[in-house]
Amino acid sequence: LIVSNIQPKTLPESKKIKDTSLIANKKNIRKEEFQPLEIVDPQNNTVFDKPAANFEIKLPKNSLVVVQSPIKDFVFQSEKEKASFEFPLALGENVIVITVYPKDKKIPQQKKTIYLYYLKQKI
Amino acid sequence: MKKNFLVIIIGLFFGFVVIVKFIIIGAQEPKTLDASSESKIEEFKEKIASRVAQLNKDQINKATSGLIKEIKKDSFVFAGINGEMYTANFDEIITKIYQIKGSQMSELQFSDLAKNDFVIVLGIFSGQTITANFIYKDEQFLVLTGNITEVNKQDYSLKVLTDEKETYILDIETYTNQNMINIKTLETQKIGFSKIKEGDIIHFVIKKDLENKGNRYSAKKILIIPQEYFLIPSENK
Repeated sequence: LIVSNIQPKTLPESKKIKDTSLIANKKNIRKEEFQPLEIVDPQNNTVFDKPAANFEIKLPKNSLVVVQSPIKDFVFQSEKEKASFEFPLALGENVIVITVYPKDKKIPQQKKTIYLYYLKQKI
Repeated sequence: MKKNFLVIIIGLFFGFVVIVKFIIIGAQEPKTLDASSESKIEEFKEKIASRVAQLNKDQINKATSGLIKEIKKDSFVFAGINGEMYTANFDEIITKIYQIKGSQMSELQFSDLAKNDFVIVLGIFSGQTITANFIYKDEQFLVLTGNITEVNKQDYSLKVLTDEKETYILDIETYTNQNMINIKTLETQKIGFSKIKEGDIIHFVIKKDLENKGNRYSAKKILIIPQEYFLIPSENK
């Protein structure tokens, strides 16, 4: 008797959830995800027998990139979601920090640290 | 991995047989180990070391570094970058130890290593144990980023809150390399202390010093991103 007396309620039009695809198409809301910062190459803890390393990174497009180590600062603007560059290495341990500052302020600043070694292995 | 291990075992076995043969021959003949026999043994030792190194070339190209916490007779324990503990085993014949100073290397003995030395260990990894082929004593640097929260013009220092939420006080010395990014050209240019403002972003390098109890360091170099860069509308950058 109790169950049969419950009538289904309908929400008023103003409280209904709108079609999300309509919302996403508005300019002030981004639908697509951004490319997070990623160091594709080299791998962490890699040992080199020459004083330079070739980097390949993925990053949000249109970002200011700052690469810093104890011996070098390298700054560039990347328009694409991939970047490649050569970076010098000091003898011994190289702590290299890559920081990206995306032009789009909705995308957060990101940072990655990598440890590379340039060592002369005299056997 | 198994194949390499098997080849090492076979190589060492043959080496052992040859050495025993040398010893037996030496025992049978009058005991005059001449210079040529000695040099042959030395040469053979070097060959074993070289062979082992060659066989494990892919493992040799991996290293880790950290501060020595404890030294034992033929090994030491050191704390890696993320705090994990490693044991490095030293071999009198195979392990080479060097000191790095700038662009030069000089050879060291195991007895030259001490607690709190910063070392790089290169060798064969087996979990947290490393059979060290090479050990390098080096200097440790920190590379950090943060916001400048205070500029002290009296003593030429900067207070910085890092991305890791730690506070550092950086002394800007006459030898500190001071650079700033030009927000229009994005080129780096040398600056003086007076150009630095609270609110600027700073990338800096300091030399790790264990005797330093606080977080005050002399900056080796700094790179400033003026806060104005982040105020420029996106389409004008």
